[in-house]
Amino acid sequence: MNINNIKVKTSNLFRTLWAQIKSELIIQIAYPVDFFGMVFTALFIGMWIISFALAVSKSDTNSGQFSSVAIFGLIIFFFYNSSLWSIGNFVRRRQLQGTLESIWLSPSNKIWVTIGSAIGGYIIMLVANILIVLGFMVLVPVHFGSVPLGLLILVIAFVQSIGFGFIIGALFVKVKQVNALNNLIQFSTLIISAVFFPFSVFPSWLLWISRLHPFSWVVDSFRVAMGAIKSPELLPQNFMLFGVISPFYTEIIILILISVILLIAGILTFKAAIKKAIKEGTLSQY
Amino acid sequence: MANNYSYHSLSTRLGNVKAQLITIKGVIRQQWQIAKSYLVNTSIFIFVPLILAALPILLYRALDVDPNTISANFGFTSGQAQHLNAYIIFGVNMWMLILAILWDFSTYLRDEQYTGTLESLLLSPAKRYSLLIGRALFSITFNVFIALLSIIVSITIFDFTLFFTSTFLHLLLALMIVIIGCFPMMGLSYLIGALVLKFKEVYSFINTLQWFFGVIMGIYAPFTTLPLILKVLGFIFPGTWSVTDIRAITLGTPPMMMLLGLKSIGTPILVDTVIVILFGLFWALVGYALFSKVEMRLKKREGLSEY
Repeated sequence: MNINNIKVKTSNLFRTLWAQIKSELIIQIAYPVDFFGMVFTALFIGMWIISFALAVSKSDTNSGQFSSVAIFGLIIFFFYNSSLWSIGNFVRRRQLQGTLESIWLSPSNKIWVTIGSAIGGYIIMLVANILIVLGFMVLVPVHFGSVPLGLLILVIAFVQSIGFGFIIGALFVKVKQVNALNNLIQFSTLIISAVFFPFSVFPSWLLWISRLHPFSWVVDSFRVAMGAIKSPELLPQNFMLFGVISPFYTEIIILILISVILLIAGILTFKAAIKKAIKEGTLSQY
Repeated sequence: MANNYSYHSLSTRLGNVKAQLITIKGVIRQQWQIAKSYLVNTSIFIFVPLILAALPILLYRALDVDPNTISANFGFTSGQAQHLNAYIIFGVNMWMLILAILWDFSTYLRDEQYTGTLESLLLSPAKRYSLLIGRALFSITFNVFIALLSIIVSITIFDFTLFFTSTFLHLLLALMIVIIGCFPMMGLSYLIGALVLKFKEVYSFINTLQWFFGVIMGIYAPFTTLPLILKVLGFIFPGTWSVTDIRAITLGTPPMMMLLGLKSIGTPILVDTVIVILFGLFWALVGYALFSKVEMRLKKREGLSEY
């Protein structure tokens, strides 16, 4: 009886998740201009930085390495950003359409519905990023390190961005005009998490601020995995956890811990914000 | 009788002018009220250029290259890349200013469509050119002011010594170039505005286009370092001329004519300015003509309020 119950519940959860992923994919496919706009925007932003790096260091051999640092930083930034905002956008879009309250009154699991929406966005981003990498490969030489390790970091980054996304989703429920805040967070993340340059350029005080931003750990480990840098820059050189675990794997452990904490904190915050909004009757106000 | 008629005609004309001035004042007041309501958005326009300028500044510090190499690659005449930070800051801020104007005008009628006020606006006795002049006056004054604020903040942080090397005349001349450079962009934005009206969902397109403008106008590095096709596009883009000349006046880098290796008839900056004015006239005529055509077609067919 209990096993059957669990089976039914699990099957329902996955059906909800799949339905939401499908719905998100249908919406995204309906706007191809948005999709290609995103790909070209990433390429143009990358070109700003890469053309600058090439212009200032024409005679230097390190411009290729810096191109890789910038490209992989940009790719992970776009990935992270898409799922980070997907939950907030999911809430706002449903508010605009007037369907948020009906979704919340339905018997489906709301957390899975929102996660499904983020996964849909992430799948689209995966396709977009393949195109972005191909685009960059035409412009500059791109060297790849370990692709499986890179994919592992992407999965952990997804978990982290979902947690962060739930916090931002809660903000969308609470604060009505968050577009300006959205821009500010995005642009400051570009600097604090050293998306376009290595962390090594930061003075030690700024490096400490970087370490406090969860996304910095994603950027640093992704660059190591993809071979853009040799060892993590957020950890002290030759750092070995318990004297045996290498700096890269230590960084992955830190990343997993941060991601799990953020995911739990995000879900709790989001649930609390929704509960409060339902109580106050402000769920569909925007 | 004839005298009486001419008196009435004159007073009617004066009344018309007064009415148009009231319209312009009304539009400026309306725009100011809107700007005041979105102060956070305005502050973004001050701080985002600061962040965008910090990206390459941190990058070239990471590259640890010799200033003379930068100087040679960038085509500086001063022989020293003393003010590379200011070079980037002017580029980023001019880009942001261009974007602000581009968005302001290209989405003007679409915004009115969204709020459902477009038809009543066009049915009102106010002349459309008064509405546009009011919008232009406010937009240019406000956005240039914000850009200046942003430049002062960024220069104070990244290149403080520039304040001691520039004269008042330099700054005044640069400001003039900034203002003149806004006009071709207004014309261009009408052209884009026509696309917005025609193709309903082109916000993503404009969004992408703005980053492309950043590439061809050379905000981080001179546009002459770009591949040929992008260089040609940069050459016909008015923003490239403005940003190159502002840098020439304030930093002593080569003006556009010299950067292109063209022998100028008179003072290069003056020739460049005349060309920017011609650009302004060209884009204003082309943009306005296309915009009016699209608007007329929409009025005849599906109606302006549909989107």
